[in-house]
Amino acid sequence: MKTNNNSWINRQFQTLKTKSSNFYQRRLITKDKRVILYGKMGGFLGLVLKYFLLYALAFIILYPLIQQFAVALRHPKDINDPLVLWIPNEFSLLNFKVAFIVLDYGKSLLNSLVLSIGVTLLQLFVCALAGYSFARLKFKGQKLLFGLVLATIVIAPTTIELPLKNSLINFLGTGKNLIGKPFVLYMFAFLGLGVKAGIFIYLFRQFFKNVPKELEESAYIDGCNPIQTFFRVMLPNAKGAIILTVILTFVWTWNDTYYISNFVTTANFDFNTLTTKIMGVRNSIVYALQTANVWQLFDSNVNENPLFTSMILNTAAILTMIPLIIIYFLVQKALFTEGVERSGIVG
Amino acid sequence: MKKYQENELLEIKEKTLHQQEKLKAKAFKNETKINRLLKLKTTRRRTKQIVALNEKNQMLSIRDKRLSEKLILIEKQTLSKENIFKKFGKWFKNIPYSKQLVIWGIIFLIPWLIGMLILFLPSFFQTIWWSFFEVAPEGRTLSFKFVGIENYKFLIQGYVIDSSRIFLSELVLFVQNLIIDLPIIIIFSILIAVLLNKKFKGHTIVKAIFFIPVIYNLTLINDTLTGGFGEYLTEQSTANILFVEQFTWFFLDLGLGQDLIEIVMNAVGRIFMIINLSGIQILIFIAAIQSIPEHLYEAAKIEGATKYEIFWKITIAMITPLILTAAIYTVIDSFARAPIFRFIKYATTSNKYGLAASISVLYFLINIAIIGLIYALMRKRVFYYED
Repeated sequence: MKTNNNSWINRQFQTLKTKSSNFYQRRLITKDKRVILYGKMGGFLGLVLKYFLLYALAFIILYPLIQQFAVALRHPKDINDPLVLWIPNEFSLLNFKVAFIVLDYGKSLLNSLVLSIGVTLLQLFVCALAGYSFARLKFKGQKLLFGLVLATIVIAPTTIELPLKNSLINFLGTGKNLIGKPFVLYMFAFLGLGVKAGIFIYLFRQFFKNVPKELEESAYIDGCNPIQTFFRVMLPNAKGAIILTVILTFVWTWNDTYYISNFVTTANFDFNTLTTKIMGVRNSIVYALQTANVWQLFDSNVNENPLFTSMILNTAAILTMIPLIIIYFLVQKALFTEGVERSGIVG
Repeated sequence: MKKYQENELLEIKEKTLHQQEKLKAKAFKNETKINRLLKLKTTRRRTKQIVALNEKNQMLSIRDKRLSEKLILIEKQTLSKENIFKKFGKWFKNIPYSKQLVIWGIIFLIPWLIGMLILFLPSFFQTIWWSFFEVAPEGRTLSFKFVGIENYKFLIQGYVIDSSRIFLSELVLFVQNLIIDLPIIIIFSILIAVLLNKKFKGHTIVKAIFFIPVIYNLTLINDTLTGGFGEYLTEQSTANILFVEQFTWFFLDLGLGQDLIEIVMNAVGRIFMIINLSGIQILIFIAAIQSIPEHLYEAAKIEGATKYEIFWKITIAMITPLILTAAIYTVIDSFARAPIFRFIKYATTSNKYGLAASISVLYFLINIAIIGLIYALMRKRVFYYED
């Protein structure tokens, strides 16, 4: 039998087939396109959301700083001007001058710097030693001692404040009163009771645990005793933990009011760091302005405005933070490349 | 180098010979013991004993060798005097290395140990002790009067300062806030850490900005800005308040639960506080995410996992141990900022040291309880990855 491929019905059938397959193909393509398009849109939206979130939050963080600067730079004349909200009409450093005098800036800044650096170095030394001991120099009963370290992290310093003060007034029965001398803060740092010392001991322990043991063994074979091993091999390798400890201890000591005001400033009003000074001044700003002989510089129109005192206070607050912010931006790169990524937090 | 006189040398020689004999006797004794043990039936304890005795004998033989070296030096008359440091050094070197490490371990801990023993532990136990007494200063000393748990009863029943601040209600409020804040802080800091981890435009500067809260002095900023000029400024712009209120109404119209919205919107309103409390936590999570091995992600991609699955099953799973750490840190940190200072100060200035001590102890107990609760809840969900 002969088959006719070119019959009408066959041709119809063929065209229908190609049409439907084309249609089907096109649908597939559009579906794929749609999926890809949605995916792209989703990705773009996610990106926008991400940027929006991050930059908005960064702005929220910076907001008080910007606000404080804006307030600090305005002239006292502009206080009552409702048109001045952010950018002052007349730039002036008058507020800074007054705040300088009120804070006794030079002396307080020196105290702050010396105290923070001293405490940081002592704390770094003690915590690194203790952390190394807990990580590598094992002995019986050490786990119990490490439990004690965890206890020092958990127990807030306020818990032991009163008896501690009581024992410091008559230190070890010698009759010497240590309260009121900055020495007591250095002593705390050296005895591992400084600002959150327990956390740093824990950090160093975690870090040294992750350093390969072969390093130490080779040092020992080359004739190092543990103290030499510690200073020549382990510490140079512990950059991350050191940077983190230094930055956090420095910042926490700088911002600390608890230790300084409780153990030093209560008995010795002459010793003030920037932070304790402004904390002392903030409740009696008018009195402070009067005793600093700057009250008379302004007329009563300015003086009697409560916003004026809060403006001075605000300027003083930003003055206490400026050194810290400058130091932070100098070291922040090291903090993130060394401190976070290679610190012993994880391990 | 100083040298010994001849009669001194003789004395030393006699001494060393005597020591050597003693050592040999000891070694012999150990040997017989070992032989006796070897003949008996072997048990685990006996083998252990034998090993220990063998080690002892080895030590003895080393000492014996040293003594005979010394004897040779005496024979040659070249033995030199040593000062005390050298002797100590020699003695220390002869201690086995594992024991040397123990000694160094204790030396390294000495400053910290002194601090613990003379300041921390006595103060801590004294605080607990005082909380059961009525303690008042009398001149330079303190007077004690035992009252049992009267201090705690007084605290709970109605300790009021400044005529309006009730101790118990503030305590409850604090714990309540903590329980609400804790998950918010943890989720927020994980989110930020994940976002900051990948590189994007300006990520160095944004990273730097996100760590600024750690260096902020929060009380100072709150005092100077919300109390003074800042309040004046926000009153004039009112943007912040309007935003939160409008959003609250919007979600209420959608028909979501009111309590949930209030919690979330409160969190939004306090976003500045929350960012400021989560600086360290963000740091912890960034470090944690960066320590996740890359090959896990590669394997997941080859298996065809979606981004969502990768996030939940790899990223979150791998950082669970640090979620626990961060949660505990958050609790400790917020307890360190807790509003107990005013109460303690008030009690101290009115010479009620016992009451102040009991406040401290109460806070400590609640702190421990919350940490224990978190630990118990999360312990089973924590996943430890091993290579």
